[in-house]
Amino acid sequence: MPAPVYIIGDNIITPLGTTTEENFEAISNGVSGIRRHTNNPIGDFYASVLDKGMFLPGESLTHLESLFIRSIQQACQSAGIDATDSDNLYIFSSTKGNIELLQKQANLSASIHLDQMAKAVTTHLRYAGTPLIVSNACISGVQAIGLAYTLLQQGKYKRAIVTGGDLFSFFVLAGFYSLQAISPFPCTPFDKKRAGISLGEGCGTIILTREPNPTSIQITTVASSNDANHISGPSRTGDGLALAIQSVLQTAGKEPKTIQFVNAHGTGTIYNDEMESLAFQRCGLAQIPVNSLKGYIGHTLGAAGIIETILTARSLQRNQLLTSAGFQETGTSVPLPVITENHTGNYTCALKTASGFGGGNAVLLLEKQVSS
Amino acid sequence: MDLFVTKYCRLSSKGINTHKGVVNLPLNDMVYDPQALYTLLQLSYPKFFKMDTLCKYGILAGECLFEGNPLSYTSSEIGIILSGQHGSLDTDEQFQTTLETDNFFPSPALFVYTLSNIVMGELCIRHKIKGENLFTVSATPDYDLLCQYTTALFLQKRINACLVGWVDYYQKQPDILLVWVETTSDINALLFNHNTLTSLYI
Repeated sequence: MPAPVYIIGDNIITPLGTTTEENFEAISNGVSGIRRHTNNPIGDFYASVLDKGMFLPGESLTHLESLFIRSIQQACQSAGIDATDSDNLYIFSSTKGNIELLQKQANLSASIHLDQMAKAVTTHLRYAGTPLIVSNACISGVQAIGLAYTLLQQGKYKRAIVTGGDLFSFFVLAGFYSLQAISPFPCTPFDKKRAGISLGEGCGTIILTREPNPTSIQITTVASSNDANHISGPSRTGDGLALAIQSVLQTAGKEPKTIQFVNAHGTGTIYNDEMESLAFQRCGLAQIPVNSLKGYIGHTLGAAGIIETILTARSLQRNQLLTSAGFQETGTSVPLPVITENHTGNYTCALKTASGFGGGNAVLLLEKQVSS
Repeated sequence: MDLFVTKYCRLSSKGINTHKGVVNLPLNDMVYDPQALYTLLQLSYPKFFKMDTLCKYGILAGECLFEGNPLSYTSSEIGIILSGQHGSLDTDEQFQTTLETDNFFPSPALFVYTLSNIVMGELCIRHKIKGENLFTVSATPDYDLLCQYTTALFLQKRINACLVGWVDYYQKQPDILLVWVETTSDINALLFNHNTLTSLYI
């Protein structure tokens, strides 16, 4: 098995705060960034949207690019590393990038292209190399971490700076609205009343290295799979997600019962949450405590996998489980022990899952090193 | 570890080439008409008609490569590693036009194609590919990344076969290279490396 990689720095920017700490504190106090908004012609909807004051004014940079820069700089600071270092590998994760530029019709800016967006950010940071970009719908964030994990094994780079971001856009709102997938109230993952997603926006940056670091959380292994079933709906049986979970457990040599909690994708749609419950059952995880963080920060698309992985790592570090906002009553055919109360204990091992449009699934295993 | 390209398909404005040779197109500009190619290749895959253009080209290239033969591997041991530059921008632009306030009528059938990786999902459905999958974006094909990442997955024994390539379409220009990577070679196989991919992407 390849060597684990270690998290040596991170940052999260959402409406709940501009650092990982602020976000973790808010969520552990049950604070949600999801608010009611109104739009013509869609009407009322709920979403977790950043305050415009959170965007740093930057010449010729888009809002999203300025968010990436801020998040990367803060993560580098937390890891005590230099963003310009040629030993860094940059990996971006985004589904729609600067999609709002399409509304401006005339003179489509080069930044509409994800490669140009990423380049604008790394150029501003004075990094000379070429960033890589993962764009694989809702699993992009977990996959970007997986790509970093694999490329770090080859020893060409000292560390990987993996950053994921997507903004709330009318484009995506209208799209999910057309699919009738927007929840009429703040999303309630795994709950009986759940009725769709709440969109969110934000950015997360995680810095990984292969150099063992005894106090860091490690990412032991990452795997992905595809349902090969439907492009816009999850498999009805959960078999695709189960393949990726089994791949991770097998590679890491872990029994399902040794996993202490699962941070699920948990979008709050009828089909996603049902599919996840079936997949967890298939893999012997139906008894393992589970949460979704989307009731606090909404679905942040290309940032979701990274933000949620960071918060899960922080849970292990602080020995504190985060609750799953909006859950009251089992609403999946396999009842899952959804976390509804703050727990503290000795937590050393958690699983993070993601599933998305195009049939993709991605899973990673996080572990705290136990000092021998 | 030596890996081999045992089949491939290159589809671009210049025409279609595969490991079997040049696909003869009766009309020069036929390559710009996915529907005509569908008929020419005698496909029978009704899902094709609901797809956006990028996906249609991806499926057509896949058909030329596999020629309707089922893949001789278990679904979960087949990977798919694809890249492109424009992603779904062509479809994004079409969807954007349905969002004008005075004529607001977003189509869910269009929206589900506004993601770079949907072409990968369609290829997975068509050829029953359930293993490791990744979609990356770059300005031009990044052969080093495609080769390094794919080889690492083989070495980790996560996959035993992989569909690798570049799938791009924007402003009427299809630009596709799909290669089928396996561990065993036949007489016509090419080594799977940067040079082979460069020579096939012409």
